[in-house]
Amino acid sequence: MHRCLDIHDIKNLIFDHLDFSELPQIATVCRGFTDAALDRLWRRQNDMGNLIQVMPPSLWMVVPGYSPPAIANEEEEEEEEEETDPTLVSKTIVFMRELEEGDWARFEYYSYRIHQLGVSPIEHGFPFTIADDIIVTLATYRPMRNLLPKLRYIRLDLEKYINTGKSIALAQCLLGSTMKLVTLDIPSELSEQVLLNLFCSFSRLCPNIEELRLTWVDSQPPSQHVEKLEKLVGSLKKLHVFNVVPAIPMPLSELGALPLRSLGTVKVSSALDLFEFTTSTNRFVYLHELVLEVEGWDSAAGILNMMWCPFTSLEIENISLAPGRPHALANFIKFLSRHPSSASLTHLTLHEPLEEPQPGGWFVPAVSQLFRPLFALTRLQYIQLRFRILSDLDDAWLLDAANAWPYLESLSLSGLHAPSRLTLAGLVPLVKHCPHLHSLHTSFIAMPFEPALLAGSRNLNVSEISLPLSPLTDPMKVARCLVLMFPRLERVSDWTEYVTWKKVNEWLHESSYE
Amino acid sequence: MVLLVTSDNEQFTTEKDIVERSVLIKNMLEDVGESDQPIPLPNVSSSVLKKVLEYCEHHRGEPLPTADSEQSQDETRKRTTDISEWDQKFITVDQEMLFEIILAANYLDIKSLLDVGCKTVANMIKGKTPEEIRKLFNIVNDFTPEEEAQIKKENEWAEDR
Repeated sequence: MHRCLDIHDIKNLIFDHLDFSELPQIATVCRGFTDAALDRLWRRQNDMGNLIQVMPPSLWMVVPGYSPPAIANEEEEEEEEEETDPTLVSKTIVFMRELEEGDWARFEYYSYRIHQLGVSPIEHGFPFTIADDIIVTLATYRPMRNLLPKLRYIRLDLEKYINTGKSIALAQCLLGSTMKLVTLDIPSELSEQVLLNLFCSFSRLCPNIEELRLTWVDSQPPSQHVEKLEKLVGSLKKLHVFNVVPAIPMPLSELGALPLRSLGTVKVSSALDLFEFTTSTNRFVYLHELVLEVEGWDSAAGILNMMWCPFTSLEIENISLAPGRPHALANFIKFLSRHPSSASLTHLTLHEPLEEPQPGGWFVPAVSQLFRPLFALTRLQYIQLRFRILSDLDDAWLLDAANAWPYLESLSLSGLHAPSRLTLAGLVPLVKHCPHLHSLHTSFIAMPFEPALLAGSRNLNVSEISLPLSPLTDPMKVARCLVLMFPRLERVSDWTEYVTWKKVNEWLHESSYE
Repeated sequence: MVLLVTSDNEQFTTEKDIVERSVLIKNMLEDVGESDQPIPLPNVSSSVLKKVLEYCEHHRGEPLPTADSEQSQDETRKRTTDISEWDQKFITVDQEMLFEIILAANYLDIKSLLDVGCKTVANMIKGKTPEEIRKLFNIVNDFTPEEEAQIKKENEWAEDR
């Protein structure tokens, strides 16, 4: 064997280019290959299922469904009768006897290779469910030891850990100072005590967390949960990324002192919150990405006025339906175009409710003028605008946009109604002036244009476009115009009542075989 | 111009912007400043350096991978073994030379060349049984049949991924 294959780093690089399915075979070529192949294979695990199954087979068994073994057997029979696809049946691992010291040898052989746990729970069929007693048993048998000593990332669906005993056991088992990234899916019915226990464990055992992403899966988090979260966040002195869904009023006094690069989703609903949003006195020094939910564009302008960060990404949703929005929006957009981040901003998302206006609340004489100051943000790559009034944009606006945003990669414009002035020909400047464009979501009046308008320009990046609410005339000619602009176009997503888009897709499908 | 001296004492004169694809040589040049001092490369033979310089010359002027782009490409890079036509032709060499190029790229810190070499080896391995891989690279099987069976069994979950 060449000495090159003795070098672990080189083997890692070679095996990085192989499919997972080939790595078990590679691991058995020789002892020299085993570690590099198994390190890569075990680095990311969806759950502890595979790890527990390397323990002696006399210790555990897998049963379908989430039930005690006796009941599970009955369920197994029923499922066999129905011929359920085995990959779609959740599997529960249960212990059949007491743990013994000898059971740990193979567990330890693999456990230190795991760096990420719970990465993608549904990517490869249903994950294993670990019976409650297993977690408790493992933690009890080795109370002072971290079962996965190199774990850096964990994603936990706390619905499975509603039981207090299990959540404490879980924390003892898995959390440690190597942990850098944490993602939690939290059911709102989770008891305050369980959450407090978990947050305390994170705070005590994982001081080096850099990314914390929390999702309250079914509703707004209860206020008690938010209080507990404030304490946790205050203790994580190395936090770079903090993201919560849905938006909550965040503990800004604590957050401002942290080295955050990315912060979202902050719900700003009072003047008090605005006071905390400031880059003065060395607060939010490293912040580059911000996701906000505001009640009125005045609030958003007020925040930017105090936050002189060179943002690269801004995502702002105004949830207010109050009258007078267009004026406030116009002021906000003008303010944004003069903000220091106008030279650095690459990602911009601005959303408003798409509801019909309140009587007398909306009158916008020139929508194209309203959004024109955004053309000063010349580094923009990803733009997503969702406003009821966007239906009134016109081709001239899109021409100026294409000239203003040469780095544009993704453009999404959503309005409430079908467009009245934006046509298919309006996309031609995007093809001519935005060579990096690969994603397009907008509505327009789809009628054919003269191909000479393109002057030979085309875009080879776009393979699918989304054109909601786009009325269509002459599907064949429109399809040809689309293919002239986007020769690699395979599909148009429409999902509206304009069934004639189906003909366009059929034509695109057929032409792709020619 | 830069003077490089190989392990077999052969001297190569080349242009700075060509050899600066090697992070090691770039750093050495920065350390010695504007001097004409030859740069010794005790881990690279003349036949291998000739190939490495051919690669660097062809890719002259192309942007060097940054730490950021390496990180963001980490996952997409994996499991792709596409090699450009020129690189493929360049790396069509005997096995001994292939491994020597990989070692040299690793030592000289030329990431893109290291990547081409490792992808080539990965392509050679793909679809082969352990026995075929042993034969290909002249590897001795140092597992007992029981050990081999155990590792196979403990990792069979990955075979349908």
